[in-house]
Amino acid sequence: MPRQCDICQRARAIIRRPKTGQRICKECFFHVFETEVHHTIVDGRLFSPGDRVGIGASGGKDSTVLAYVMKTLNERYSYGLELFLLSVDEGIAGYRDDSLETVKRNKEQYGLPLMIVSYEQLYGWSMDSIVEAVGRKNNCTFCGVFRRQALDRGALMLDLDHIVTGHNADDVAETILMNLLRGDIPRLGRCTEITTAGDGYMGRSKPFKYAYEKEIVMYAYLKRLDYFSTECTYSPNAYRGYARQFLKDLESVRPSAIIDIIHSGEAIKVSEEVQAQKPSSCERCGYISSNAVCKACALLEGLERGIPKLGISRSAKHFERQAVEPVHFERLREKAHEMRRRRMCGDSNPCTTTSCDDSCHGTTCACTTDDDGAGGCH
Amino acid sequence: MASIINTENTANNAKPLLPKLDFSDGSQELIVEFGGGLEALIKQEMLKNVKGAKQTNVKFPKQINKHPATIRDLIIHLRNFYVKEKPELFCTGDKVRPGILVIINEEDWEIVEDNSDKYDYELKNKDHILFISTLHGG
Repeated sequence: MPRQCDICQRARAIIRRPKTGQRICKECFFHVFETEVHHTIVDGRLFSPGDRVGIGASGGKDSTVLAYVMKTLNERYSYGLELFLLSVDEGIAGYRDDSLETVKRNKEQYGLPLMIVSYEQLYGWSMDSIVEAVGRKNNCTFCGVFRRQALDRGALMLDLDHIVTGHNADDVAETILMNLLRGDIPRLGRCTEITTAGDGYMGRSKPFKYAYEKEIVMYAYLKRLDYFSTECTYSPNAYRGYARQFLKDLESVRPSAIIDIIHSGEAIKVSEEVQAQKPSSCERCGYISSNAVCKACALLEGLERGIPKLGISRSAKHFERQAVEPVHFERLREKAHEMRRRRMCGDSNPCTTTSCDDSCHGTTCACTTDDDGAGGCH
Repeated sequence: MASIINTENTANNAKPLLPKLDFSDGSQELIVEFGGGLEALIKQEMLKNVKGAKQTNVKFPKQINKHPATIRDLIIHLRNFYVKEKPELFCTGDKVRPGILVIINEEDWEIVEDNSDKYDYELKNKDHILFISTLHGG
């Protein structure tokens, strides 16, 4: 006997919401899913009208649904955002190259501009060559550190105000568990925040923070969205795998477990002594870092130094790669700022004023010539 | 497709809990689809590509041990004869791995009443059953 929707009481229920236990119909599901994300965005004050927002797009389910929903909400609620797809090509043959094809289709399907930045281009090393050099054991560390920086670099190249990523409720709950299990208390305190500072230049947030993975997959399925689902060819982080399995087992007996863990994580107050040191900048690349040299630069140096030991089988290509010097973040920021100035003024009337100091980050910069003739940025 | 009775010898690595299918009480045709990365676990020769969907037609008995065949029976059968390796990524015992969604005729199988077991769903001829993993990639 078909069950009726718990919300509209009319249509046939087709999904059970893990968060609430409600049985609801397709249209009500789309509506509540999208509306909850909208509330997350509004309550978290993630954006301002006119913001240039990059959607971190991997071609996987989360980012594909995120791109679709961001586009839908931007139109429905007139956020006034300029949306971009921003993808990182880690250089993993048979995995990322295929998933990037999905992103390229999404670009057409959603009519959003796409930018792809690659590890090879940014650092001179693809993940394939890194794995060749360091083996399969710790390669996820490289990938994670490089990806975070790569997204920020791409965002500066596009002069974005904000990056959104497809991290969902399951991911957040998993990260809370991981930080707890590792005793990483500063991160435990930070990981539930919806927006993090990113590079310091632009914000980075998770509109799907409260969206269950199950609902994201159901949404993608029912909307027939085009996404890519293949496991990365390199061994996944085993510790994270256990945390994930544990979480999924909990969810199967008590579906609210995921949102409950997030609420617990949000309620934990980390005492000030254990909070992270004041962030400063990496002395080599200018990226935000709590140490003199950021993690990415330290990893890169290890890679470069390791090369001679790798023996004569290395091709000349590797030595060419050594020549790649990651662009200093200060230069990227300057360029982004310049782009912003030009955009605000229009190319025909370039703003030549120097009165705008960087403190406004261009957000309040109107770059118009005033009646008093002073011109410049306010 | 080949009759499932002939596939006995392909189930080397799994202990069949439901060994040979007995069609004496009639048979039914099911469409079984795998998505979200699960298709990679299935023997490729068993799958066909239907408009991008990886699916297979399964001829299944109407009754198993004189009871109407349920989705529990189907899951065991799929694990024994369709999963090519690492059956634990598909199910443990007769339960699908947490994180795999089961969608029967476009409906989440979890909408069953609270006091009934979703594994007791009685299969019907022409049912479309989709197993979709939520565990892959982001």
